[in-house]
Amino acid sequence: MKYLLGIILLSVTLLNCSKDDDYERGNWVSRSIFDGVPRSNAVSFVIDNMGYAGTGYDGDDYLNDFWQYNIDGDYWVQKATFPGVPRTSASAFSIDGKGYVGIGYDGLDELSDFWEYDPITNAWTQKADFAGGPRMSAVEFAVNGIGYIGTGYDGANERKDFWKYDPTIGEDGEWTEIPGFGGNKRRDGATFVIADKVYLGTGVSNNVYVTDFWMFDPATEVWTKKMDLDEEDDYSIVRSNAVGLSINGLGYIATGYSGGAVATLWEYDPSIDAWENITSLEGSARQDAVGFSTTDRGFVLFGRSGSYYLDDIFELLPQQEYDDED
Amino acid sequence: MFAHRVNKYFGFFKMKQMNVKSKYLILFVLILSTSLISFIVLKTDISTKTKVYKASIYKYNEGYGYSISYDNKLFIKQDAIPVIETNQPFCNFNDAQKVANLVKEKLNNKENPNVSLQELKSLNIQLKCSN
Repeated sequence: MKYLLGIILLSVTLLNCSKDDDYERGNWVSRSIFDGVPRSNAVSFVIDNMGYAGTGYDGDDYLNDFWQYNIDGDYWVQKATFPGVPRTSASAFSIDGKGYVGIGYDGLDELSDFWEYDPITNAWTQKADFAGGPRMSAVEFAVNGIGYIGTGYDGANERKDFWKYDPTIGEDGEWTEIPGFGGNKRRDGATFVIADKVYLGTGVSNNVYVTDFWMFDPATEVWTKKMDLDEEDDYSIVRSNAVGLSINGLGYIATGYSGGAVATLWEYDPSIDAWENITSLEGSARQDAVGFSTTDRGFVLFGRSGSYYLDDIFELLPQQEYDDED
Repeated sequence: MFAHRVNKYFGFFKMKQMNVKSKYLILFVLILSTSLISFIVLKTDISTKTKVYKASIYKYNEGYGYSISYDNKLFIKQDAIPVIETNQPFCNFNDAQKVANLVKEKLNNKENPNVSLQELKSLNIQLKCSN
């Protein structure tokens, strides 16, 4: 009897100890615990500390519903439906308090239409079509009042051209090509923005994962090649359909697809051009998720794991210690 | 028959003689299994309770909004009519309640809670208030 008690006590103590054994940086906090708005390949942008997400694919239908996520309150508001055709793998960014959503795929065709969302009036206005032609699975970002869309898939080929959108030119804004991207064509790449510089990597071309990594300076429109994503033997950053985030001056590539859904998280430090592997997403490994980045907070939401479409949201707290109970 | 009774009697007698250690072991196993069962019962009870979404209607800006909560945690808050391009709250309490119930039903059926324009129309939701 005493032995039995002793064994139980010992194993409980050991279990507790093993938890505190080593420090693991990076913590994910589950935000929503219920069934929500499951989908993959949605679009997202952030305006005034509110996340906006919509469109995508839920396994049965292409979607055009559009939601606001109150980051501080952790709740959702259904907003005015996106007026373009329901679509997946579209692109979106925000400029000066307005959201922009366009291109994508409706199940039959790649698309080139482009729309502006005003969160104050909760209304959509059609703007100038994307001048690079119909495409899906592109990358997109916005810096200093200008939006950019590049790479992607046009229905026949992966692309490597980049275009910039200035909403202040004319009624509908204007698209202009910016030459000079020396990297691979790709679809389903990821970007993050740190201190007005854009970092681009990951994605897939002709069924091969691309390994090049680039920095774009919108002020000079010059692309600079950075260290390849497979430069170090222990790097496993290479993937497609990932989420790019930036939090407090560091970049993140989270989740994605690499022969299967991925949960791993890599942190990029632009000052030393190096990557570090920190705590993987504490939820289902997933591809085609989206992210919200404010200046100091980052979230990963939606996506799919095989044919299982996800609705949960996680906040990434990269400087916290891993805690499996939150 | 008689032998059986005797056996039973002696069996009881033997049990009385059981040593203290075994008694403690039985007690320990009893406590352990009781707590395990109550833990499982408690867990099951909670998970069935929290599977329910609740809707509530509130007054907002001369009109009505609704909120949907899950286990007392706010999930959807709708100050304005969803789907359409407006910041207009629902014109009356009944409209807000009809849409709130639709959303609640969808969530309880594990469906995407998005409302469509057709649904607003089929519920006869007033999209412009007459005042």
